[in-house]
Amino acid sequence: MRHSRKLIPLILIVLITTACPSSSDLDHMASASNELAHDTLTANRVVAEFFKAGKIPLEAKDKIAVKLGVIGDKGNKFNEILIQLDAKYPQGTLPPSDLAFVRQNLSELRQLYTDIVADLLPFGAQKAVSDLNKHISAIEKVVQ
Amino acid sequence: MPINLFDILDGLERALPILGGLTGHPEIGTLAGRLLDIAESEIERRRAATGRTRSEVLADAKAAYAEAKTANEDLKKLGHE
Repeated sequence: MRHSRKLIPLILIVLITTACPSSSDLDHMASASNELAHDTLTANRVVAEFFKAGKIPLEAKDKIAVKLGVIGDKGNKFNEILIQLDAKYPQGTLPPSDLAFVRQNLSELRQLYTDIVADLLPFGAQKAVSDLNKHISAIEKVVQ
Repeated sequence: MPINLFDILDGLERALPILGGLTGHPEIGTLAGRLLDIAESEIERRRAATGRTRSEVLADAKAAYAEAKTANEDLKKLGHE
C-alpha cells in the first residue's frame, strides 16, 4: 500500500508527459503550414506592389501570379490534410503511413516553391518568399 | 532601452518617400511605404498569434489561404483591366 502511494505521483508525471505532449509532429506541421499560408498571402501582395511600382514587367508578373495561385491551391490542400489528421490523431503523433502521405504532398509543394524563387530572384523580390523556404524546411524536418 | 520595431517602421515610412523624391525615383518611396505596411501587418499578426491550439492554428491557415486566393485573383487581373 505504501509503495503504491509513492507510485501515484510518478505514474501521474509519466501520464502527463507522455499522453499530452506539449509539441507534437502535428503541432510543428500546423505551425509551419500556418506560416506558409501567410507567406503565400504576403508574396501575392508584395508582387502586386512591385508590379504597380513598375519593377516587374507584365509578362513576368503574370507568370509569377499563376505559380503563386498553384502554390496557394496546393498549400491549402496540404492544410486540409493536416486538419483531417488533427481530427484523426488528437495526440498529434502520426503513424508512418500518414507521414509518407504528408511527405508526398510536401515534395510537390517544395518543387513549386523552388520554381517561384527562381522567377523572383531577377526582380529583387526574393524577400517576398524567403520565409517560405524556412517554413517548408520546418515541415521537412518533422516528416524526415 | 528596448527597440520598438513599430517606431523604426514608422520612421522608415516617413523617410523613404523623401529619399525617393531626392533620388528622382518617387516610385521607390511609394513601393517602400507599401512594403512597410505589409511588414507592419505581418508583425501585428505574429504578436497576436500566441497560445493557440493546433486546431485554431490550422483554422487560421485555412483563412489565410482563402485570403491569399482573393489576393492572387487580384494579382492576376492587374494590368489586364
